[in-house]
Amino acid sequence: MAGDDKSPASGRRRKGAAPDRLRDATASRLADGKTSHSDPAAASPGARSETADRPAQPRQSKAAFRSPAPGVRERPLSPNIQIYRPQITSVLSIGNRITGVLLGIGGVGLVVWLSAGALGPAAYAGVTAALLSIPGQVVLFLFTLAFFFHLCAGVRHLMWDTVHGFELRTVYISGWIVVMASLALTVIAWAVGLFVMS
Amino acid sequence: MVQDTRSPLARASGLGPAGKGAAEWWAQRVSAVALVPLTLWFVIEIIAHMHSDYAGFVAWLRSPTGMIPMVLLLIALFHHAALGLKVVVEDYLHGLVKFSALVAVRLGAVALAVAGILAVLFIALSG
Repeated sequence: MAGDDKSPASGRRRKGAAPDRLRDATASRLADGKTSHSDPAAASPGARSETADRPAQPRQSKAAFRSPAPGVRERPLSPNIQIYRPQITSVLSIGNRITGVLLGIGGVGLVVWLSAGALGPAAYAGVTAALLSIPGQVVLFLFTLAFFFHLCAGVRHLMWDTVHGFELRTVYISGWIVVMASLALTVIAWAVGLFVMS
Repeated sequence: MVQDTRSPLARASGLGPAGKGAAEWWAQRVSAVALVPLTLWFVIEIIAHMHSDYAGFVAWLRSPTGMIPMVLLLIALFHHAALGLKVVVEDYLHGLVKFSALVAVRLGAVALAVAGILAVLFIALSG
Protein backbone atom coordinates (compact mmCIF):
# COMPACT_ATOMS: atom_id res chain seq x y z
CA MET A 1 0.00 0.00 0.00
CA ALA A 2 2.92 2.33 0.62
CA GLY A 3 3.39 4.80 -2.19
CA ASP A 4 -0.20 4.48 -3.36
CA ASP A 5 -1.03 7.89 -2.18
CA LYS A 6 0.71 11.11 -3.04
CA SER A 7 -0.37 12.97 0.06
CA PRO A 8 -2.10 12.05 3.28
CA ALA A 9 -4.51 14.88 2.70
CA SER A 10 -5.88 13.41 -0.52
CA GLY A 11 -8.63 11.68 1.42
CA ARG A 12 -10.08 14.98 2.45
CA ARG A 13 -9.76 17.01 -0.71
CA ARG A 14 -13.33 18.12 -0.45
CA LYS A 15 -12.50 21.54 -1.74
CA GLY A 16 -9.55 20.40 -3.78
CA ALA A 17 -10.85 22.19 -6.84
CA ALA A 18 -10.32 25.56 -5.26
CA PRO A 19 -6.68 26.08 -6.28
CA ASP A 20 -7.46 24.89 -9.83
CA ARG A 21 -10.36 27.27 -9.97
CA LEU A 22 -8.17 30.14 -8.92
CA ARG A 23 -5.52 29.13 -11.41
CA ASP A 24 -8.01 28.79 -14.23
CA ALA A 25 -9.52 32.14 -13.44
CA THR A 26 -6.08 33.73 -13.42
CA ALA A 27 -5.05 31.95 -16.61
CA SER A 28 -8.17 33.07 -18.41
CA ARG A 29 -7.64 36.62 -17.29
CA LEU A 30 -4.06 36.48 -18.56
CA ALA A 31 -5.11 34.91 -21.82
CA ASP A 32 -8.10 37.06 -22.54
CA GLY A 33 -8.45 40.41 -20.89
CA LYS A 34 -12.08 40.65 -21.92
CA THR A 35 -13.24 37.47 -20.21
CA SER A 36 -16.45 38.26 -18.41
CA HIS A 37 -16.27 37.56 -14.71
CA SER A 38 -19.93 38.25 -14.19
CA ASP A 39 -20.55 34.70 -15.36
CA PRO A 40 -19.71 32.45 -12.40
CA ALA A 41 -19.12 29.54 -14.76
CA ALA A 42 -16.16 31.35 -16.23
CA ALA A 43 -14.24 30.97 -12.99
CA SER A 44 -14.98 27.29 -12.44
CA PRO A 45 -13.29 24.16 -13.72
CA GLY A 46 -16.49 23.01 -15.39
CA ALA A 47 -16.45 26.06 -17.61
CA ARG A 48 -14.35 24.30 -20.20
CA SER A 49 -16.80 21.55 -20.99
CA GLU A 50 -19.80 23.77 -20.49
CA THR A 51 -18.65 26.59 -22.73
CA ALA A 52 -17.60 24.08 -25.35
CA ASP A 53 -21.29 23.31 -25.79
CA ARG A 54 -22.15 26.96 -26.15
CA PRO A 55 -20.52 28.35 -29.25
CA ALA A 56 -22.39 31.62 -28.76
CA GLN A 57 -19.72 32.83 -26.35
CA PRO A 58 -16.48 33.11 -28.31
CA ARG A 59 -14.79 35.07 -25.50
CA GLN A 60 -14.91 32.01 -23.26
CA SER A 61 -13.95 29.46 -25.85
CA LYS A 62 -11.66 26.56 -25.04
CA ALA A 63 -8.82 28.47 -26.65
CA ALA A 64 -8.98 31.04 -23.87
CA PHE A 65 -8.03 28.32 -21.40
CA ARG A 66 -5.75 26.22 -23.58
CA SER A 67 -3.43 28.78 -25.09
CA PRO A 68 -1.69 31.04 -22.59
CA ALA A 69 -0.62 34.57 -23.37
CA PRO A 70 2.66 35.00 -25.27
CA GLY A 71 5.59 34.45 -22.96
CA VAL A 72 3.58 32.42 -20.45
CA ARG A 73 4.55 28.78 -20.31
CA GLU A 74 1.61 26.41 -20.66
CA ARG A 75 0.71 24.99 -17.27
CA PRO A 76 0.42 21.21 -16.88
CA LEU A 77 -3.07 19.92 -16.20
CA SER A 78 -3.85 17.21 -13.66
CA PRO A 79 -4.97 13.91 -15.19
CA ASN A 80 -8.66 13.25 -14.95
CA ILE A 81 -9.90 11.53 -11.81
CA GLN A 82 -11.08 8.48 -13.79
CA ILE A 83 -7.58 7.16 -14.44
CA TYR A 84 -6.71 6.81 -10.75
CA ARG A 85 -7.14 3.46 -9.03
CA PRO A 86 -9.72 3.85 -6.25
CA GLN A 87 -8.09 4.20 -2.84
CA ILE A 88 -9.50 4.03 0.67
CA THR A 89 -8.92 7.78 1.01
CA SER A 90 -10.70 8.86 -2.16
CA VAL A 91 -13.50 6.29 -1.87
CA LEU A 92 -14.32 7.33 1.71
CA SER A 93 -14.17 11.00 0.74
CA ILE A 94 -16.73 10.69 -2.06
CA GLY A 95 -18.65 8.16 0.05
CA ASN A 96 -19.08 10.77 2.76
CA ARG A 97 -20.57 13.13 0.17
CA ILE A 98 -22.86 10.54 -1.39
CA THR A 99 -24.16 9.37 1.99
CA GLY A 100 -24.65 13.00 3.01
CA VAL A 101 -26.85 13.62 -0.03
CA LEU A 102 -28.72 10.37 0.62
CA LEU A 103 -29.32 11.31 4.24
CA GLY A 104 -30.69 14.65 3.05
CA ILE A 105 -33.26 12.64 1.09
CA GLY A 106 -33.78 10.60 4.26
CA GLY A 107 -34.59 13.88 6.00
CA VAL A 108 -37.48 14.30 3.57
CA GLY A 109 -38.67 10.85 4.63
CA LEU A 110 -38.43 11.87 8.29
CA VAL A 111 -40.66 14.90 7.67
CA VAL A 112 -43.12 12.76 5.66
CA TRP A 113 -43.28 10.32 8.59
CA LEU A 114 -43.85 13.13 11.14
CA SER A 115 -46.41 14.84 8.90
CA ALA A 116 -48.30 11.56 8.52
CA GLY A 117 -48.30 11.31 12.29
CA ALA A 118 -49.76 14.82 12.50
CA LEU A 119 -52.43 13.95 9.91
CA GLY A 120 -53.76 11.09 12.01
CA PRO A 121 -53.75 7.34 12.62
CA ALA A 122 -54.75 6.38 9.05
CA ALA A 123 -51.91 8.29 7.36
CA TYR A 124 -49.47 7.10 10.02
CA ALA A 125 -50.55 3.49 9.47
CA GLY A 126 -49.95 3.92 5.73
CA VAL A 127 -46.39 5.15 6.23
CA THR A 128 -45.69 2.46 8.82
CA ALA A 129 -46.95 -0.24 6.45
CA ALA A 130 -44.66 1.09 3.70
CA LEU A 131 -41.69 1.09 6.09
CA LEU A 132 -42.42 -2.47 7.24
CA SER A 133 -42.69 -3.83 3.70
CA ILE A 134 -39.68 -5.65 2.26
CA PRO A 135 -38.62 -2.72 -0.01
CA GLY A 136 -39.19 -0.36 2.92
CA GLN A 137 -36.96 -2.46 5.16
CA VAL A 138 -34.23 -2.61 2.52
CA VAL A 139 -34.34 1.18 2.13
CA LEU A 140 -34.30 1.61 5.92
CA PHE A 141 -31.31 -0.74 6.20
CA LEU A 142 -29.40 1.20 3.54
CA PHE A 143 -30.27 4.47 5.27
CA THR A 144 -28.97 3.01 8.55
CA LEU A 145 -25.72 2.07 6.83
CA ALA A 146 -25.48 5.51 5.18
CA PHE A 147 -26.17 7.17 8.53
CA PHE A 148 -23.52 5.26 10.48
CA PHE A 149 -21.00 5.72 7.67
CA HIS A 150 -21.61 9.46 7.50
CA LEU A 151 -21.46 9.64 11.31
CA CYS A 152 -18.12 7.82 11.52
CA ALA A 153 -16.62 9.61 8.52
CA GLY A 154 -17.87 12.91 9.97
CA VAL A 155 -16.19 12.22 13.31
CA ARG A 156 -13.01 11.46 11.33
CA HIS A 157 -13.34 14.85 9.65
CA LEU A 158 -13.82 16.54 13.04
CA MET A 159 -10.62 14.83 14.20
CA TRP A 160 -8.81 16.23 11.16
CA ASP A 161 -10.25 19.66 11.94
CA THR A 162 -8.36 19.54 15.24
CA VAL A 163 -5.18 18.92 13.17
CA HIS A 164 -4.78 15.30 14.25
CA GLY A 165 -4.28 12.12 12.29
CA PHE A 166 -2.75 13.42 9.07
CA GLU A 167 0.09 10.88 8.94
CA LEU A 168 -0.39 8.52 5.98
CA ARG A 169 -0.51 5.45 8.22
CA THR A 170 -3.05 7.09 10.54
CA VAL A 171 -5.20 8.15 7.60
CA TYR A 172 -5.40 4.54 6.38
CA ILE A 173 -6.07 3.19 9.87
CA SER A 174 -8.83 5.72 10.62
CA GLY A 175 -10.30 5.04 7.18
CA TRP A 176 -10.61 1.32 7.84
CA ILE A 177 -11.94 2.05 11.33
CA VAL A 178 -14.71 4.11 9.65
CA VAL A 179 -15.57 1.19 7.35
CA MET A 180 -15.56 -1.40 10.14
CA ALA A 181 -17.35 0.78 12.68
CA SER A 182 -20.14 1.81 10.30
CA LEU A 183 -20.74 -1.82 9.30
CA ALA A 184 -20.62 -3.00 12.93
CA LEU A 185 -22.95 -0.26 14.20
CA THR A 186 -25.44 -0.99 11.41
CA VAL A 187 -25.46 -4.71 12.21
CA ILE A 188 -25.76 -4.02 15.96
CA ALA A 189 -28.63 -1.55 15.47
CA TRP A 190 -30.56 -4.01 13.29
CA ALA A 191 -29.80 -6.96 15.56
CA VAL A 192 -31.11 -5.04 18.58
CA GLY A 193 -34.11 -3.83 16.56
CA LEU A 194 -35.04 -7.33 15.42
CA PHE A 195 -34.58 -8.57 19.00
CA VAL A 196 -36.94 -5.85 20.29
CA MET A 197 -39.48 -6.70 17.61
CA SER A 198 -39.48 -10.43 18.34
CA MET B 1 -22.82 41.58 -22.21
CA VAL B 2 -22.79 44.74 -20.15
CA GLN B 3 -19.32 46.09 -19.43
CA ASP B 4 -18.37 45.14 -15.89
CA THR B 5 -17.34 48.32 -14.09
CA ARG B 6 -16.91 46.77 -10.69
CA SER B 7 -13.55 46.79 -8.95
CA PRO B 8 -11.54 43.55 -8.77
CA LEU B 9 -12.40 43.33 -5.07
CA ALA B 10 -16.13 43.64 -5.75
CA ARG B 11 -15.88 40.92 -8.42
CA ALA B 12 -14.03 38.62 -6.03
CA SER B 13 -16.54 39.18 -3.23
CA GLY B 14 -18.79 36.18 -2.89
CA LEU B 15 -16.49 33.96 -4.92
CA GLY B 16 -15.09 31.33 -2.59
CA PRO B 17 -12.74 32.54 0.13
CA ALA B 18 -13.82 36.18 -0.25
CA GLY B 19 -17.34 35.34 0.91
CA LYS B 20 -18.86 33.79 4.01
CA GLY B 21 -17.02 30.51 3.61
CA ALA B 22 -15.41 30.50 7.05
CA ALA B 23 -18.70 31.08 8.89
CA GLU B 24 -20.42 28.33 6.90
CA TRP B 25 -17.47 26.01 7.46
CA TRP B 26 -17.85 26.56 11.21
CA ALA B 27 -21.63 26.16 11.11
CA GLN B 28 -21.16 22.84 9.27
CA ARG B 29 -18.87 21.58 12.05
CA VAL B 30 -20.97 22.91 14.93
CA SER B 31 -24.16 21.39 13.49
CA ALA B 32 -22.24 18.12 12.94
CA VAL B 33 -21.25 18.04 16.61
CA ALA B 34 -24.88 18.70 17.61
CA LEU B 35 -26.07 15.92 15.31
CA VAL B 36 -23.87 13.25 16.90
CA PRO B 37 -25.94 12.92 20.11
CA LEU B 38 -29.23 13.91 18.44
CA THR B 39 -29.09 11.32 15.66
CA LEU B 40 -27.87 8.59 18.03
CA TRP B 41 -30.76 9.49 20.37
CA PHE B 42 -33.14 9.21 17.39
CA VAL B 43 -31.87 5.76 16.35
CA ILE B 44 -32.08 4.48 19.93
CA GLU B 45 -35.61 5.89 20.36
CA ILE B 46 -36.77 4.34 17.07
CA ILE B 47 -35.43 0.95 18.14
CA ALA B 48 -37.01 1.31 21.59
CA HIS B 49 -40.39 2.25 20.07
CA MET B 50 -40.47 -0.30 17.29
CA HIS B 51 -43.24 -2.30 18.91
CA SER B 52 -45.41 0.74 19.72
CA ASP B 53 -48.52 1.79 17.78
CA TYR B 54 -49.87 5.22 16.89
CA ALA B 55 -50.81 5.95 20.52
CA GLY B 56 -47.24 5.13 21.55
CA PHE B 57 -45.87 7.37 18.81
CA VAL B 58 -48.06 10.28 19.97
CA ALA B 59 -47.16 9.68 23.63
CA TRP B 60 -43.46 9.72 22.68
CA LEU B 61 -43.66 13.09 20.92
CA ARG B 62 -45.95 14.46 23.63
CA SER B 63 -43.34 13.89 26.33
CA PRO B 64 -40.70 16.63 26.66
CA THR B 65 -37.94 14.03 26.33
CA GLY B 66 -39.35 13.12 22.92
CA MET B 67 -40.54 16.47 21.59
CA ILE B 68 -37.57 18.68 22.50
CA PRO B 69 -34.75 16.50 21.06
CA MET B 70 -36.92 15.87 17.98
CA VAL B 71 -37.28 19.60 17.29
CA LEU B 72 -33.58 20.16 17.94
CA LEU B 73 -32.77 17.26 15.61
CA LEU B 74 -34.88 18.79 12.82
CA ILE B 75 -33.16 22.17 13.19
CA ALA B 76 -29.63 20.75 13.27
CA LEU B 77 -30.36 18.18 10.53
CA PHE B 78 -31.69 20.61 7.94
CA HIS B 79 -29.14 23.29 8.77
CA HIS B 80 -26.36 20.72 8.29
CA ALA B 81 -27.99 19.27 5.15
CA ALA B 82 -28.46 22.71 3.58
CA LEU B 83 -24.80 23.64 4.18
CA GLY B 84 -23.56 20.30 2.85
CA LEU B 85 -25.76 20.27 -0.22
CA LYS B 86 -24.77 23.87 -0.95
CA VAL B 87 -21.11 22.84 -1.16
CA VAL B 88 -21.98 19.83 -3.34
CA VAL B 89 -24.04 22.02 -5.69
CA GLU B 90 -21.28 24.64 -5.87
CA ASP B 91 -18.73 21.97 -6.77
CA TYR B 92 -20.63 20.11 -9.49
CA LEU B 93 -23.18 22.47 -11.02
CA HIS B 94 -22.62 25.68 -12.96
CA GLY B 95 -24.49 28.65 -14.29
CA LEU B 96 -28.25 28.84 -14.08
CA VAL B 97 -28.56 25.21 -12.94
CA LYS B 98 -26.29 25.98 -10.00
CA PHE B 99 -28.25 29.08 -9.11
CA SER B 100 -31.57 27.21 -9.28
CA ALA B 101 -30.21 24.31 -7.24
CA LEU B 102 -28.86 26.65 -4.55
CA VAL B 103 -32.27 28.33 -4.25
CA ALA B 104 -34.00 24.94 -4.19
CA VAL B 105 -31.66 23.62 -1.47
CA ARG B 106 -32.18 26.70 0.69
CA LEU B 107 -35.96 26.86 0.28
CA GLY B 108 -36.31 23.09 0.57
CA ALA B 109 -34.30 22.93 3.80
CA VAL B 110 -36.29 25.74 5.42
CA ALA B 111 -39.62 24.29 4.25
CA LEU B 112 -38.79 20.78 5.48
CA ALA B 113 -37.49 22.00 8.84
CA VAL B 114 -40.58 24.15 9.42
CA ALA B 115 -42.93 21.37 8.27
CA GLY B 116 -41.24 18.84 10.51
CA ILE B 117 -41.21 21.10 13.58
CA LEU B 118 -44.86 22.08 13.09
CA ALA B 119 -45.84 18.43 12.67
CA VAL B 120 -44.09 17.57 15.95
CA LEU B 121 -45.73 20.49 17.75
CA PHE B 122 -49.12 19.61 16.27
CA ILE B 123 -48.82 16.04 17.51
CA ALA B 124 -47.49 17.14 20.90
CA LEU B 125 -49.92 19.96 21.59
CA SER B 126 -53.18 18.94 19.93
CA GLY B 127 -55.90 17.06 21.87
